[in-house]
Amino acid sequence: MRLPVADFSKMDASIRTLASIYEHRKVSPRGQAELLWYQYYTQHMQKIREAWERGEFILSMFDACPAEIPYAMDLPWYGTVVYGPGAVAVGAKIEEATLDSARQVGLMLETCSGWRMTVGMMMRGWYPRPGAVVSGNPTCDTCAKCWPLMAYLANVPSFFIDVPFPAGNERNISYVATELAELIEWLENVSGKKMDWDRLRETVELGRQMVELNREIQEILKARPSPIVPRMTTQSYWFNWIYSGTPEGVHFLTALRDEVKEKAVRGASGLPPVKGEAPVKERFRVISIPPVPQIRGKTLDWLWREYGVSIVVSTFMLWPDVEMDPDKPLESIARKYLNNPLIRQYFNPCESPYGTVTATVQAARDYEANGVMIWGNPSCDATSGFVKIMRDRLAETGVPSVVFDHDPADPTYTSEDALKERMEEFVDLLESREWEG
Amino acid sequence: MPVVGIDVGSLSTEVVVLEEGEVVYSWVEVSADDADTGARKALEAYLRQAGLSIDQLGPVGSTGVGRRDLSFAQVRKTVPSCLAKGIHKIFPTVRTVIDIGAETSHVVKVNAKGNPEDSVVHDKCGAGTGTFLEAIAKVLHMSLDGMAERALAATTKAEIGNTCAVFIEQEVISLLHQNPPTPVEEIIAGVFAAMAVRVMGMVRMVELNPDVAFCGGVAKNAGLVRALEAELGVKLFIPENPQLVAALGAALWAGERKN
Repeated sequence: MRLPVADFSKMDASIRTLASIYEHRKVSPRGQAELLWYQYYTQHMQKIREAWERGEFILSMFDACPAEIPYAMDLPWYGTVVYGPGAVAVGAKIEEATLDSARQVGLMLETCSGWRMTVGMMMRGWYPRPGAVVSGNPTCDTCAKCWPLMAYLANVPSFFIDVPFPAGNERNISYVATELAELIEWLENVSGKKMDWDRLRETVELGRQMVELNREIQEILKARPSPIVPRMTTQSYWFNWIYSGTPEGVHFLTALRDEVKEKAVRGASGLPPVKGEAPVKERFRVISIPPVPQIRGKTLDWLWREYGVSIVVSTFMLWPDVEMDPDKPLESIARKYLNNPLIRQYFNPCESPYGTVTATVQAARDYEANGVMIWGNPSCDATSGFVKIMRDRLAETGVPSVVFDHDPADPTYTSEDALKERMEEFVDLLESREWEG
Repeated sequence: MPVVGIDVGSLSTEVVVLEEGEVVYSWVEVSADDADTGARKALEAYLRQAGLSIDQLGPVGSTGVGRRDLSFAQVRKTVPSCLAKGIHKIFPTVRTVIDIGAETSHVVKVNAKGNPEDSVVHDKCGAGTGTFLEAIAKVLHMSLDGMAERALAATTKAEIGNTCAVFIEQEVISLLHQNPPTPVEEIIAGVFAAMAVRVMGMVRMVELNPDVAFCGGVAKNAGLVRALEAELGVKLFIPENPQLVAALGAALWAGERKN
């Protein structure tokens, strides 16, 4: 199959939108962390764009794979989720065309739209044509199977990081470290660039600082009212992907930590009040699993303003303590990779100590949550399997949950009105419980 | 002072008026383009007979898809909350409510105080809704009552394999035209059974806790009631006016003035 020549119209539109949001936020600031998010996100895309113009070797990689490696090799790389489905969130209008393209290679409605869009982006030529692709099997079979398809479509070599299930034991961490060593050797061959081992050790230290900052933030988020704006619970997670082990990552998370800390000390809510109106109150504290879809950021602002429902945390923000030693860079990066909350929670049995059900039930206690929102993407095989168990376990601890029949990447799947209706039903339920005491 | 509950649905608007906690008036009106017009029309007879204007009514509660658009409602509650409250007034022992409306189906878990504990909604595919049954009735050239009667006469049922409204319709047509054709009563019984399986899937999401009530306009269909009872394995509690339960709940919420 012959791919069309690169078409940067969508990427350029995304860069323009992000840059204009950044400029707008500079004039009407809502916090340093958000400003940095837009600044660095724009820069990340611009760097890829410029690397393409210079004819450099570009790596396409699943966002959750260890970014420390391309950074230490000075390899321009892009994460397909953040660039693909992420572009929907900035209004690049890619959904219809990419989903249509994916259908042409057999990816139907039952396949996760995130991956359908990713494959569709490649088919449309809307990603920079990569020199190679890298992926792994976390967190789902669809992820594992779409990457070979991406490499096939782009007609470039690919590397697959094999992660044994379950992810969270030392034997598997050692095994993944050997996989990463192979990945480095393979990347040196296909890209012609060499690993800078000193720089890799630096990324480990910076990654360690990022984990610590994440852990500080997750403690601060227990404050009442929630000091974080709902969409940031996802934005910060994305940032941990694309700037993993970098000074930018540390800079952003430091700003976010300082910001939520300052608000928590002041007793201010994360969502700023509308000019001239009273501060936003928090009536109900809700946990989001998986993170709030970026396309629904405004809807969740509405939910907080209208009904006082805050998103206190996403379980994907909950980092465990990760031992990181710059003198053991590959082992440390493997450990961080497998303890990334997404992989730790989804690539272990859901009721194991690391699993997503255990993590969510514990988070509901720790954050004194009134309820849990489950974005039950029906085409997500990783999520669908645990929804029933999670709802039952939460109910046993007295925490109600709601499942939104919702696609995190495709805004046309559920109408805004239908989503709001379901949210209001959940608010009614929370209110009833409040009145009953 | 009369307390009013109005359920503004996509096809019909139901009104219930309570005095001293008892239903003194109820009406079902075809929904108008705007919620106010339909609701005012549904209240006309009551206002005339009571010699009141809309402004002289007590608290008004609204529910349904058009609840936000009703300008004279003071209390607005979602359908699951109103179903829970309404059914608790009629059948206090009910813990699960199945509501099948024109375009949406709900299953609500109700607690002992008449509040919702959990709910699921089915609004993507028409196969679990009243509109779907109307489409099948049209294909079969009969009324909904006629469908119910024929289904009750069936001794066996056709296997309807699809759970998509469009495909079920195609399947019904092919069963009618195959040689020899499948008896109509068996087809209808099969359609009801397929719908019951779909509802059962929703019930499982909130758990089947007896007693179980069935409401919404579709609950008047004896054929579907039989199919649902067979699938759920319980005797269903069906209110005298099953389509008014949400409006009753809205009136009760309005009486409590809880928004």
